[in-house]
Amino acid sequence: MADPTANDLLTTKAPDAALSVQLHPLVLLTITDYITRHISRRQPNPIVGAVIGQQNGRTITLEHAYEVKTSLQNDSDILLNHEFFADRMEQYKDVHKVPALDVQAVFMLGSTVGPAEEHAKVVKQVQEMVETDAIMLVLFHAEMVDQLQGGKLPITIYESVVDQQEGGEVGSKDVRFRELSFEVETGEAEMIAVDFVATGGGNATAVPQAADTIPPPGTVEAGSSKTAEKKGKGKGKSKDDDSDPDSTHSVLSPEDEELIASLTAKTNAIKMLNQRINLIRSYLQSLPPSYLTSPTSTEAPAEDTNHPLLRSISALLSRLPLLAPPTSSSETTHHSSLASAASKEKEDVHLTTLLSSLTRSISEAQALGSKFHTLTREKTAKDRNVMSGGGGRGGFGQGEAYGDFGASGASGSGLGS
Amino acid sequence: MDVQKSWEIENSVKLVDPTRDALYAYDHEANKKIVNDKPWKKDPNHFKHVRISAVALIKMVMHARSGGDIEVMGLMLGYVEHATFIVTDALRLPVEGTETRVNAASEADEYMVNYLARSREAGQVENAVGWYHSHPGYGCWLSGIDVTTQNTNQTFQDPFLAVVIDPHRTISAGKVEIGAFRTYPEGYKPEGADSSSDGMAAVPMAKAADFGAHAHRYYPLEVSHYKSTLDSKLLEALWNKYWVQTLSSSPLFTNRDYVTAQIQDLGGKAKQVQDLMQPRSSMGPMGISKGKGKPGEEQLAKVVKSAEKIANEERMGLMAAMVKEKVFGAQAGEAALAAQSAETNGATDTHMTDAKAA
Repeated sequence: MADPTANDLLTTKAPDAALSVQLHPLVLLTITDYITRHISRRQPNPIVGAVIGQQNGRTITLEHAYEVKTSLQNDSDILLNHEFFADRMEQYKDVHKVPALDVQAVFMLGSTVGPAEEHAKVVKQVQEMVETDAIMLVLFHAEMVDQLQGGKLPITIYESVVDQQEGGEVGSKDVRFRELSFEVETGEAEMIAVDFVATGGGNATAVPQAADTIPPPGTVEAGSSKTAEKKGKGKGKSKDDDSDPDSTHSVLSPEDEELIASLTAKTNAIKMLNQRINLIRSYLQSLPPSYLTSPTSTEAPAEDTNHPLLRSISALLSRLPLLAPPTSSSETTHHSSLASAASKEKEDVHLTTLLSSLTRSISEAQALGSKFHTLTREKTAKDRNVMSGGGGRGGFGQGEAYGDFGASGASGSGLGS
Repeated sequence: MDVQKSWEIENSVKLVDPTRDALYAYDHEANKKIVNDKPWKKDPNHFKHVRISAVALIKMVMHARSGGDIEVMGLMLGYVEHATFIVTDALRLPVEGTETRVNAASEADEYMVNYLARSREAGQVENAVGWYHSHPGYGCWLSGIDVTTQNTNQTFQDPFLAVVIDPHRTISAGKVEIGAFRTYPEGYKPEGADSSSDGMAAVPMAKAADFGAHAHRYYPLEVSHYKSTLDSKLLEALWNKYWVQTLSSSPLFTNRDYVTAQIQDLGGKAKQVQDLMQPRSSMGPMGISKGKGKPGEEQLAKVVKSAEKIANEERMGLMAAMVKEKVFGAQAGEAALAAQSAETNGATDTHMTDAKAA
């Protein structure tokens, strides 16, 4: 990777206070959607957009994004249309009032080397329009897209820092960028939607003429497409196995499918957790012997030991005891409140399950009762008309059903035999 | 030639696959010609499928959820192709509580016109191809007012689509609850009598009357979604980041209110069924015909289905909680002991002097 200090626009000044950035997946997908559309339709103008979010102290969230109208001036300068920008910002603020969102960043395409001159110019324009200096720059790296293993997102976020230009006139400010680290945060609804979209696996091939005979690959079926390998891999033209409606899945009901899908998701998440823990463990094991690895040794650790990393691992370990529910001396007499809350939840769920089985039993009993009633009615009508008073009652009530048929059945058989 | 443009051209071949991302291309003029033909005028059942882009779907679900218990609405942009609606984007409208007002959309007229004009300026030239709104907690179907609104839309703005999202059921079930509908023109009688009533097993009692009265005036379309190759790659990368959410979510806790409401509603429905099927003492011996029992049985079957659905969702929530407990809580006691012993060892270490000595 190119040496970041070679880029003029990156500042090496240390940050005075750590900014934490939370990026939402919708922003990323909006950017990729816009890029795909832009390229598919061969639109000439550069790809620029705004990202809106909240700012709470030192935490900035990036939640939604939209494209902005640009034009090229002198073939190399990207000019943002001020009217458009102001109008659009108002429109988005109108519909994002609770919580109130504001423009926090600009997104553009860029290389991994870092921001270039035109990025800085665009950021300056946005800063003027929004009247704040704190506009971040989100660069999308198109060249990284093909090697996206290891979960590294093709995005870098830069914070804009105002540097006094040395030797320049007093008051002249220059925009410099400092790379920021960010985390991906999602809300519950967002996670479900993103999950849904990722696993459905529908690709965007054009719609054929007689499309009504073939169900498209990403149909909202009751989870027949959610098998283990497809989880989290969302892609694939060869989703023909999705559209097998009944063949292999006729045995499993939709509820079972859902259960399997959610359990599979959990399994994958646990596997991931396991992987990460193993990674940490193997890293620790690979450290050269020193007083850090065993309590008796007195050797100094190697020069290039990553002490902050070790400190954070140690911090993680020391937090583990927090997870243990508070235990009491005699576990049988009183449980911790956490344990009792958990068991209450369990009981609730079991109760619900019981109720639903009861409901089903009632319905089946009712069906049985009515069939039996029909049978008996035919039988008694054929044999004799005397018992019509007892056997003719509807008896659709739940308890009475059995009582009735018991009576008419017994008397019917008594007479018939 | 600026840096960005050269990057774009170099990489555009790799970013977009013309076959697999075909839906993203849009030729406004060509589309106009198709639209002028208006094949849907001759066949009320013309449109059968809907394909929604990933971004549009996520935006709509998030908008629905952000409204909480209040209905929200928005517009969808896109185009039609053969018998399919293709929704490429969605936008929010600044109105709320839309279920009780017929003209909710007209309050947002100015907003809509402005927004669409600006979008066209920026290069997003698709027309509005439908509207969406949310039914928080009461399922995906069209109410009487919705049907009226949609009929008007289909008269003046065809081709137009109605989409409904239920954000509460989405969260509870863990998958997106969405439905797309087209209404029949006035006086049209569809051949299959129960075109739309089957799928909606669980409409709450309070809304059941509204649902039943209008269920025959519209039909559902098959909904599927699509995403670009670029989206797919990004989603694969994202999974590595949000597996944490999967493991740490607590559906039982989040959905408590919603599930309680569901169970209450179900209880009411069960009582209704029971009343329906009470033995009537005035009935004569042969008076009970099969006809009287039939609707009761059907309703009972629906009640059973709803009950099992609720129980299933609860069970999945419980599994999540148990998984969490097993993975994190069970061994925590031992881990705590281990951590403590490590600490006591470390505390007696003389790091500082070692560093000075070294």
